[in-house]
Amino acid sequence: MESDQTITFCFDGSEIGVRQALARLMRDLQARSVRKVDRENVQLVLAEALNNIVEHGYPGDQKGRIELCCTLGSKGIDIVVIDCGAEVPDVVLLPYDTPDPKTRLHDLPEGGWGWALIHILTARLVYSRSNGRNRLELHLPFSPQDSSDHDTG
Amino acid sequence: MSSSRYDNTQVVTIDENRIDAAIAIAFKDRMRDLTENGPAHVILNLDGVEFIDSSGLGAIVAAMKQMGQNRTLQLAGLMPNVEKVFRLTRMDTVFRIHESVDAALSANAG
Repeated sequence: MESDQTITFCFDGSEIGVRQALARLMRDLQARSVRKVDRENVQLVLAEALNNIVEHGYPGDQKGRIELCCTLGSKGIDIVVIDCGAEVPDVVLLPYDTPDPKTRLHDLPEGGWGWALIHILTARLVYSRSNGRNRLELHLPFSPQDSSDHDTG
Repeated sequence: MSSSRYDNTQVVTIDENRIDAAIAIAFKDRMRDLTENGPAHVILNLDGVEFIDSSGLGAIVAAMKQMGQNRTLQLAGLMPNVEKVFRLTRMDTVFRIHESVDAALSANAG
C-alpha cells in the first residue's frame, strides 16, 4: 500500500518521540506540497491525539511504540494512529465543547481542550480496539483554497 | 526565555519555537521564577513561537493564575497558527492579546 501519497512510520510513545514524529511528518507533508494551513491542522490534531496516548495510554514507565499512517487524498488527509496502551474512554469520543472560559481566574481550566480541538478540526473520527491495540482513524478535510489564514511557506 | 522591564510592565520573550507537552511544565516553572514579585503587567512575547498545543496553552493559563488576581498576563505577537488555538478554545476571551510588543507597551502606557 506504500505509495507517494502514503507516509508510514513508528516511534517511541514519549513526549520527545511525539515531537520528533511531528517534525518528520511536517517535512514529509511539505515535500508532498501540502499547504501550510493543512499541515498546521494535522500537526495540532496529531499533537493532541499523540500526547493523549503518551499521557494516558502509556502512563509512567509503561512506554510503548506508536504507529502512524498518513494518506493524502483528493479532498483531505486520512490518518491512522495505532498504539498498544490503555483503552480510550468512550466519553471523550463524543463531540463536546471547549471548557467554559467565563469563570473566575482561579477556576480557569488548565487543560481539557485536547479532544475538543481534535473534534473541531476533524470531519470523521473512528476509534476501535482489538487484541489490546487501539486504532484511531481521523479525516481532516483540506481547507478551502481561498482560506485567508496563511497560505504558502 | 528572557525578560526586560519597562516602568510598570515586564516583557517576557520566549526563545523556544514550540510550547508543547515536552516543555509545558518547565515553561510554567520558568514563568514563576521570572514573574514572581514583578510589576503589575506582564507581556508574553510569542512572536517566535510557531506551534502551541493544549499542554502549552494550559501552561500559559497556569502562568497567569500563579501571578494572582491583581496582575495581568497579556500576550503579544501571535502567529496565525498560535492565535487559532486561542480562538478555538475561546481563551482569546480570557487574555488581552496585542499585535506586537510595541502595541502592548503603548496600550499599557496610555
